[in-house]
Amino acid sequence: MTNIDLYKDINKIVNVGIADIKYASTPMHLRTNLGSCVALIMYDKTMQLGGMVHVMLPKAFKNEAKVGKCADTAVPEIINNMTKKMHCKSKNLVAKIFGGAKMLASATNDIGKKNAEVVVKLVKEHGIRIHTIKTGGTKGYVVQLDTETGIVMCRIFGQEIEFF
Amino acid sequence: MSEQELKVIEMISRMSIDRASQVFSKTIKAGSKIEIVRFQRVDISEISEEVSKEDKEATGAIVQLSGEAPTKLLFIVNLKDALKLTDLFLRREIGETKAFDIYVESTIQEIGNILASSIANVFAKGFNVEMSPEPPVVLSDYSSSIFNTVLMDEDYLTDNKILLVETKFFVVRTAFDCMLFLMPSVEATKVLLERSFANNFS
Repeated sequence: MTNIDLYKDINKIVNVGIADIKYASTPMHLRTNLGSCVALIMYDKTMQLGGMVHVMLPKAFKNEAKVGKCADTAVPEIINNMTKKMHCKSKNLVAKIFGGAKMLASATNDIGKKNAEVVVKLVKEHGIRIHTIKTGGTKGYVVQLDTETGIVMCRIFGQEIEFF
Repeated sequence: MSEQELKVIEMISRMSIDRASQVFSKTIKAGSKIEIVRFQRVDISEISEEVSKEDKEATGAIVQLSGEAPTKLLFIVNLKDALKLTDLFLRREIGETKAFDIYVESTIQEIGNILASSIANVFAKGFNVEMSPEPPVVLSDYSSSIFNTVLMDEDYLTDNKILLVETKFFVVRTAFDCMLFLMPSVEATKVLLERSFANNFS
């Protein structure tokens, strides 16, 4: 078995599941695994505080209970929470966007691409600076934010680890 | 779904898995058992978080069972054990297959097909539910990315929960880290319940 833990200290890692939104400050790490889903990572360097949402679909159905599930509800939620409840300043926030792979070659509907497009569009509309867009491909992603530095380690299946 | 209805679906799942276990043993010509370790409606956020904690490089066959009771099947095995499974399947010495190749991919695809067909047979013979497995899609990726791909279907979710039948494989004299997940759609549970009550199964 090949372990793909990017950090040894698992006690520092907060895993983010599908449709989840989680926040952490230093020394914690936020981590998720993606296929066609998209991770939007928000980071405030001055507060050493990060947020991550694992978006599954571009647009919510009526009465969707999980605000983190769809881009149109998830993006405003994470930005509002960080700016209003956690008192981050918009000018200090940067966004990093990962995932959105086309996992099934036979799929006619490229949901991953749509997820990424909608997340990028909404982040721009909220006036948040986008630092990284690393989306697409056909393989899964592991991404992990170090809230101390704001650096995101990203490993696409079968490729080398990259830092953003 | 009531507790009683859930129990009926669990019994049908157990019958299907037992049949798959028998067919799998015959195919690999080795004693094997597939045991259900979890039968539960699980929240997609919680289950994906749980799976990601034990992430590994894996290969998996996803099979869509189409028909009256749409159900998804995921057979997943870590990459190292996929090589051993290929040797067993092709009646070679364990260790002969050294790297992931077309034979490994075909083996995983075939095992997915065999398991899905045996489960479809139980549905058809036991409950008169017409099912046909679509060709398996084989993915080599992180186990959690493969798992998440199967979850990406609103037809399988109620209140963001999915009915999950999780199994573990035990093969005589060989340790394998592989699992079979069965995920009946919302429609499938309705149809299976109707047919089982019609057949006085409960």
